[in-house]
Amino acid sequence: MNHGEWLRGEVAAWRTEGLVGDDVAAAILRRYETDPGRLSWAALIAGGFGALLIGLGVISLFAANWDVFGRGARAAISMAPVALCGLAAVLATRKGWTAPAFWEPLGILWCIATGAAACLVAQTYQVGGTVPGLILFVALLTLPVVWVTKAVAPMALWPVFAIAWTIASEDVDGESWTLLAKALALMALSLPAYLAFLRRKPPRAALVVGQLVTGFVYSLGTAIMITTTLPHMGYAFHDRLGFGVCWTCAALVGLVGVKFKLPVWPMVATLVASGMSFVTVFGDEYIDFYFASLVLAGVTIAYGIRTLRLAYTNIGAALFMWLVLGKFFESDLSFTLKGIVFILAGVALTVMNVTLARMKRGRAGK
Amino acid sequence: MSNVTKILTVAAVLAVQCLAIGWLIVRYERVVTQGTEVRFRCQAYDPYDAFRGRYLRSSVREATTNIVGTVTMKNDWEMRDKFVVRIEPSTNGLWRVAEAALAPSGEGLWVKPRSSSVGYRLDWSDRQKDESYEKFSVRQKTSGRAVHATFPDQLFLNEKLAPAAEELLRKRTGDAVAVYRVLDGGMILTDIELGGVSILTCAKEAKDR
Repeated sequence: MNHGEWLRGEVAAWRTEGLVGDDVAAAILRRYETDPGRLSWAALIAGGFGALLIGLGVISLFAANWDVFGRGARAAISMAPVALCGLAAVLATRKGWTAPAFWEPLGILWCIATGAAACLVAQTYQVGGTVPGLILFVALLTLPVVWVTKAVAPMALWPVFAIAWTIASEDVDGESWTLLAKALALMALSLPAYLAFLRRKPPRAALVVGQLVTGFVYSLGTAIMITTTLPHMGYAFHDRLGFGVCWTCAALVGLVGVKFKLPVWPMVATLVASGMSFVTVFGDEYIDFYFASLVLAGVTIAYGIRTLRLAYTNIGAALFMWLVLGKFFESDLSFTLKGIVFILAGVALTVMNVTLARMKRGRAGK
Repeated sequence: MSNVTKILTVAAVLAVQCLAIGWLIVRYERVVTQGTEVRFRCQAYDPYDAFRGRYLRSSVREATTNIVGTVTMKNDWEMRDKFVVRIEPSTNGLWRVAEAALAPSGEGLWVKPRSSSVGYRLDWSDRQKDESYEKFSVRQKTSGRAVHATFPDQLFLNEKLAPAAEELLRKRTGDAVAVYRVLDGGMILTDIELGGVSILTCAKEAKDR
């Protein structure tokens, strides 16, 4: 049952019970009626997937390097999808089309077509170049597409260009502060599109998906960029730097999420920080990070209990159990004892969830 | 934003994309159609590029001790990729690097190599089998400083021909010649030849057999 059906059922019940009159019932249904501009999940996912398949199919065909056509014909064929997508966008804008079910697939297809065109021209004219150069060229050409189509997937994934460019550039030029500055500047180019996305107040589904992807990209992606480009100061320090940078980026994303009431970013930040913490259980060199991870687990559990948000409690509990059990299993105790502890941990997790769920229902009942 | 402005904005985005990619096409088409054809002996093998498909990598590395002007060899690393080289016809239809400079000077065909570096004229690959490292080191130092230049090295080809091309290159390593077009300092690899015949033609014949 979707929200529309649920609401119609409830409004009918309210009218039967005399809670609302006919006018009020009609006003409520008009206010929340599904409008053509809203997302149809099935259409959006199918359209997006279809666009992705078309785009990937085009790239596969291009990579085969058609010898049948001459250079000019191949260049024209490579430009055709870009021109078609652009013309479709112009026509749709002229007709005033705003349906996301049209613009989302178009945005995806247009970005893929742009990348494919650049790659085919490079292949046709034997443009050797460098991989970072090609990535930057495609990134800068697709950024305006993200802006005009307002498609969520391209907006959320565009920063991946910045990450890929950083890794490729480090491979060619090595680490440096200059490269870090350029990488962060390139990443910053994605922010206006993201802010515009938030200002548009998209439907909840699009907001959640966009937030989820951008949360991971901005936290984990930025951490990858920083640790890739910073000049090495010795292997051990670099590992510590990686931990610190990842947690810092996750914390920044979490804080921004809390400050600006972005619904998903705090959760994403918690997941990224917890994910990094999982590796601290191995070995004794990073014992300080291990204890910091225990604190993180405790804070996450406490927050989850306080706000009755099971997701946070479970993430914190899972991290805590991994950290404790991981160290426990590295020890020389018998398998019988290890098995008992494992069972007790599972029971504790289940009891915690059931208790919290009951507390949540009790609070909702009041 | 009015509808007219929106339409113009979308049209402008399309125009910028077409101009950017079109500029790339025009720039390289000029070199391929109007450039001077030059040939260098090369080694070649067959890797893969996820974005642009199968390609042959040709290794053309030339060196010259004739360095124009007063070049202060402060630091080999700092001098990296700063040189342009003048190329001229050599023997057997091949070309050679005649001189290097920080900027083109005088007549001749000057090109910006894909990369350039400063080192000794002799490379470690020039050490003879029974020659000690100390002896070679002395010989290397007396060979003089040289600018080493590498030229564009990727020739994209049909993935169906790539295995046959790789097989041919492995069998006839000494025969491979890289063919370039040069114009206004730019250089594009247009073909690799085996015994004067395009590798694409050789690979097609080998594949059809």
